[in-house]
Amino acid sequence: MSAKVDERVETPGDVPLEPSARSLEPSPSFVPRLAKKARLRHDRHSGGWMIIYPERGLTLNESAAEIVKRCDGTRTVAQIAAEIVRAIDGQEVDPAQVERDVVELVGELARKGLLER
Amino acid sequence: MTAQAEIGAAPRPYTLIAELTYRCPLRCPYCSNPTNLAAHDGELSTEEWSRVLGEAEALGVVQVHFTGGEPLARKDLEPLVSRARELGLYTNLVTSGVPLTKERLAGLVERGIDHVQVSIQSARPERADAIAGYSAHPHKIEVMRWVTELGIPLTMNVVLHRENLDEIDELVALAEDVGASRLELANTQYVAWALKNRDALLPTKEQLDRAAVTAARHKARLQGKMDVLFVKPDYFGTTPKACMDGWARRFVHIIPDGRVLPCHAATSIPQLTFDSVKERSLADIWTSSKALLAYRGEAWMPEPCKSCDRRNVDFGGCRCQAFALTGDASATDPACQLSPHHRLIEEARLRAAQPDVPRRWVYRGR
Repeated sequence: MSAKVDERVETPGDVPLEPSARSLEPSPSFVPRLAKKARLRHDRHSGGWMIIYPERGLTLNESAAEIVKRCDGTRTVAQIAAEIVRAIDGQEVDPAQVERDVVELVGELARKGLLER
Repeated sequence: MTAQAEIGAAPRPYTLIAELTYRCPLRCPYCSNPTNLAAHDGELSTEEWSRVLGEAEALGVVQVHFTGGEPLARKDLEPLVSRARELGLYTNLVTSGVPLTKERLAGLVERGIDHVQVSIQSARPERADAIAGYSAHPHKIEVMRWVTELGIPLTMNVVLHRENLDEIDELVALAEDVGASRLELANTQYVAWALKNRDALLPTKEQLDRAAVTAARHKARLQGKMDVLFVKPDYFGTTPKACMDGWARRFVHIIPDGRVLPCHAATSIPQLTFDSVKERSLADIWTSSKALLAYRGEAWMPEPCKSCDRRNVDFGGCRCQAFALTGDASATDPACQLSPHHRLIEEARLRAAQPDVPRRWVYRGR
């Protein structure tokens, strides 16, 4: 399982500057909530989920969408990971890997300013 | 999606740029509206825009920008915002802020505006008003505060040029002070009015380098709090911009009279005839309009684009700039160092760097 997102709708011409690496890495007890400027939207054209925010959009793969749906300010990173492990019960999953995926995605959302501060 | 898959079918547009009107109280000398404003009239009706919003959503659009001109000059902005939100579109208002009252803003928020962008000409009031050709700066600041007070994400937009490029620290401080969640520092693109004013607007290389470093420092400092974008001018680069992320590819642009363009400036290319949503459906235009097909994909590309590794990265650059500078809209963008016309960019830069070049602004007409 991998929780990668693709940036699909970019502002033309922005010069990407070096992000300050891992400064926004969330801890397992961090409670993520999607920022007000970001809207999670089911995309009837692709059947998947997207996050739409000013001048941009992210298309989420299935596992990323499961994580983002739970970024509602009521669950910790560890709880989100545990819920996802339960949800994919029956398949072989490594709970530690799932938590690493959640940490990575939540960190990426934070770096993009898509989580409430 | 691969380029191969896009040959038979039109690509999916994600963003609709809805220029509701070219009317605007401001007269900025770098305005992206056409230079022959008088030749444009006959704005779409409320009913036509409502229909077009639905057709855009059906094509795949997820985000709409209500812009202009000054979109607030349209009295029917409110029902159009409601319509966009009914369709589930992420709804942006791009405004000068000038005609806005707190009551009207609150009404738009109630109807579901997702995000507001306010243009600022300078951090210094007198300079801001001189650039806009209109006294509006204090009101714009107030408007930005109303937006954040009402809990709506705010982008502060600044077009950068010779006269305000040294203000990055002040502009960032202003954006922080009004609570912006995004600051767009975009260097002027030299098409439309800005091309007329190129000598007066082109910065020096030193100014630009200093501004880029300053913006990068703030971007790192504010990461996760405020998104700071710094868009470099292609006049100082070696490769062209991926203009609009490719011609008629991700963005669909509709001008006030209903014609469908790949970008705001494309009516400057006289050989192209753009189709109007007054006569055809948006889907029909998007998939088969000759003007949109003209530079979509790669078939039109000359050398050095045709065999270039970057042809999927920058899409040959800006067609409007190619036309404005070389007279041939299918030429490689002269901003590219591989363009046989690249000297036109270098000469413009050298000319603007001379201390005694006249720098009088031609203000945008009404």
